[in-house]
Amino acid sequence: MMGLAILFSPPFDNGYQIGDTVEDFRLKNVDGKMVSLADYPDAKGFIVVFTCNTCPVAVANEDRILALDGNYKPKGYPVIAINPNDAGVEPRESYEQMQQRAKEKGFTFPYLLDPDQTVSKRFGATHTPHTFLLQRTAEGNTLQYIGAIDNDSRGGNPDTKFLEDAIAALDQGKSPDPNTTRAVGCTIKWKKGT
Amino acid sequence: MKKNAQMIIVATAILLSTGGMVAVKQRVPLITLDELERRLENGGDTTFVVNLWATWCAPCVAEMPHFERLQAKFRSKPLHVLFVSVDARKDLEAVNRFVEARKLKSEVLLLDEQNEQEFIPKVSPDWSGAIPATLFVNNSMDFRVFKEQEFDYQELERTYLSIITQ
Repeated sequence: MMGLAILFSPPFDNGYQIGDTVEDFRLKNVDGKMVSLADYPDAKGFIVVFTCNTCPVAVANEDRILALDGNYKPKGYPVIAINPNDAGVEPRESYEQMQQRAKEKGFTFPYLLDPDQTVSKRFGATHTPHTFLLQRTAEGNTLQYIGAIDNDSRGGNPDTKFLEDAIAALDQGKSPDPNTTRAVGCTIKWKKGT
Repeated sequence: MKKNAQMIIVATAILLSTGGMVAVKQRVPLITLDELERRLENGGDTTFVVNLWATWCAPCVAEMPHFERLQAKFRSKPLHVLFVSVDARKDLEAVNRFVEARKLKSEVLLLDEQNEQEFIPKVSPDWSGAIPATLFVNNSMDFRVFKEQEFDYQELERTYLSIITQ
């Protein structure tokens, strides 16, 4: 191994770590209504996905996100999608285009605008698609898994479904293993000067 | 297959060393991460600027001319820009077409790795997987600096110069 001169702090040092309790948020959905985790009194947890209109990897994962919502909402883990991108940097990420994308694709889950990117930063989201699995406990919603939906984000033929395995672990009273994975994705379009 | 890829690398290297002005189509070879690491290790005094990109990544495509400009400006220096695509292997033809259409002069490779859990942290423990991302490596000067960010030209040149003059 060659000498490492790391001059850059890890991009995901910031943001929630595994085991942290996540603060609730209140963000506007594509239907105009505000959505919070507290709106789901019966949920056992949440699949929070940072996704967007323009990233081809995110778009290629939409069917998988729809399938997750279809399979896991009835089991107590609804999908909450949040668009972390700034429409000032990428106009195709506007609220109107989010509405259009949700309609075209028939999203069955909320697709939320994070206008000042506070929630995206709090989670430490770095790219789209980026998933965070929360488990509701007596203390609140705790973060149990961060990363990819499966091990073939760029193709469509995964042989390991990380997120589904993580939910199965939680349902058996275990901690997900792995609890953090990585995948190629698109950088988040942060507001200029932030 | 590997032999073939190596021959293309050699051919590309010859092409680059002769000024790269000959209008020969660049065919993009596949490269495993181990093969790439060996090249970086055996690069002598060369500083490799390894830009991780994909044809589908708009900000990556937007910053490519800055890397070409850096290579051209520091042509007399031991600097070698490598565009390493993380497009899926099945999209190799699309990558070839892209390279041809954009008339890229720097060397382009397609990373022949499937397992993101292995190759992403091996490239850098700091890489979340987001692209564009760029690695500055010089084995003889003992540095390996990773940046998960987009560059404009000024920032790229400043970053390159600040790293090599440390």
